[in-house]
Amino acid sequence: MQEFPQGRLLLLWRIGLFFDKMTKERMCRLMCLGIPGKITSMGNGKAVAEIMGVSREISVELLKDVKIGDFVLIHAGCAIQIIDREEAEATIQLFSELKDVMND
Amino acid sequence: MNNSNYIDEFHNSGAASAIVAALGRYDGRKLNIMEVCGTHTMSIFRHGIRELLPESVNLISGPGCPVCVTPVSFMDLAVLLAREKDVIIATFGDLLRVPGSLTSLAEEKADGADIRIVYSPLDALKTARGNPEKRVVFLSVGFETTTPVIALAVLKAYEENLPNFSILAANKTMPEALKILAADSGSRIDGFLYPGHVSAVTGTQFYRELAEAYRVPGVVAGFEPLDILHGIYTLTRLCSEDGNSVVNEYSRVVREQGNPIALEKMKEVFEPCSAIWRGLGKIEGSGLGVREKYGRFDARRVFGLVETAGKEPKGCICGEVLKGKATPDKCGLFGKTCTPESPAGACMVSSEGTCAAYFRYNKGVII
Repeated sequence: MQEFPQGRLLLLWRIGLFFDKMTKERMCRLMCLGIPGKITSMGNGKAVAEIMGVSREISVELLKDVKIGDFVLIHAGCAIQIIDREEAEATIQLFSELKDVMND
Repeated sequence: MNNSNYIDEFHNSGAASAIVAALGRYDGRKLNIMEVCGTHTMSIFRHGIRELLPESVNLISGPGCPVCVTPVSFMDLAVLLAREKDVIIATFGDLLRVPGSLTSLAEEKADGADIRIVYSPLDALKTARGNPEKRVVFLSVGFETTTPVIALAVLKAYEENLPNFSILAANKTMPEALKILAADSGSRIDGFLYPGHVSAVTGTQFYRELAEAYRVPGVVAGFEPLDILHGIYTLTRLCSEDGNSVVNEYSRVVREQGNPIALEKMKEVFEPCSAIWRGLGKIEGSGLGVREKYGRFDARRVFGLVETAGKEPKGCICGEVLKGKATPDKCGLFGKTCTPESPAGACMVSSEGTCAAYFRYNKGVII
């Protein structure tokens, strides 16, 4: 059983709660924001994703073949697409091309 | 890229400098590029991207913010419902302060109406299950990114036979509005920066059809600074060519065919109808209405609602701003009677509205 945090620990715990609440409020306010999150568990038609350090239950019912460890694009509580890691690498390569050209 | 979060790599300043330098070398004709997504509008302002572009590349913000194009009459209906004693309104946060003809949901909430902000329409279902003696109405606003999630909520309500849940729908789709913008010779749009997350659902086929028909090239771009900068760079090159190419630079998330399951659920619950876009007027086939099969989840049917013509605030030029024909500072109300704290029009209320972004990031320009 955990002891209730005292003194400075209590302050840190409260600050942690505050940031957690701010992140959740920000997520509520920005309805159009789709963000990448990592699937950490799945079962019974539900999934849990870690989004910017915050774990949240999301639906994966708009996708098939999602697995634990996948990164997905999450919007309004639902995963709407799986992030293709090879394509992400290719895009980063593309964006760096001009930099490489300049450095030649 | 084992520890990647798929965000940080797209903020690389070395690559950004190189792209900005390449853009600086653009010496073609003056270009008007329109971005049609509220999240793009916000990201562009937040990262100061306009300041990094050469004089000859003009970036216009289009009607891609669903809250901004929601008509005043919709807010009036929401207020009407909020005043019913047994109704709980569940809504995305952005809608809370949008002014109706006389009042806003925020004011109604302060007066005691039960209005709850939700992050997901699926949370509104939980509210309905937990409050069987009340009727929960979800304010259904959004483009193709959000609509499938709302459709999923309605399908779940149908499966569970939930008796006290309905949606007040003002969902819209982009294609018809894009056609009007592309065809409008008054605005002379040379290229489109297409919305990455709408495209993740819809796929890219329509953009190719638009490019063919109106010879307007486009780039599908993500929302990180590198995505946007590189997207604009690619557009300057496409505009110099023949003008009917579409390039997908958000391939990590956008597939040609989009998300077929999401599209199927959208079609199952919704059917196309005409819709009023604030500032653009009525556009045929650009709205989505709830199909008859799911009629008992359609708040308009459940409550017998009749749409009235809403009253726009006098002097508000949200319409011209949404079409890219005026910048916010040209509006007589901007910064005076219309500010983020007390907004007059929707472009100022939504956190992704052009006027809100302009106000927040261009403070030096305000008179």
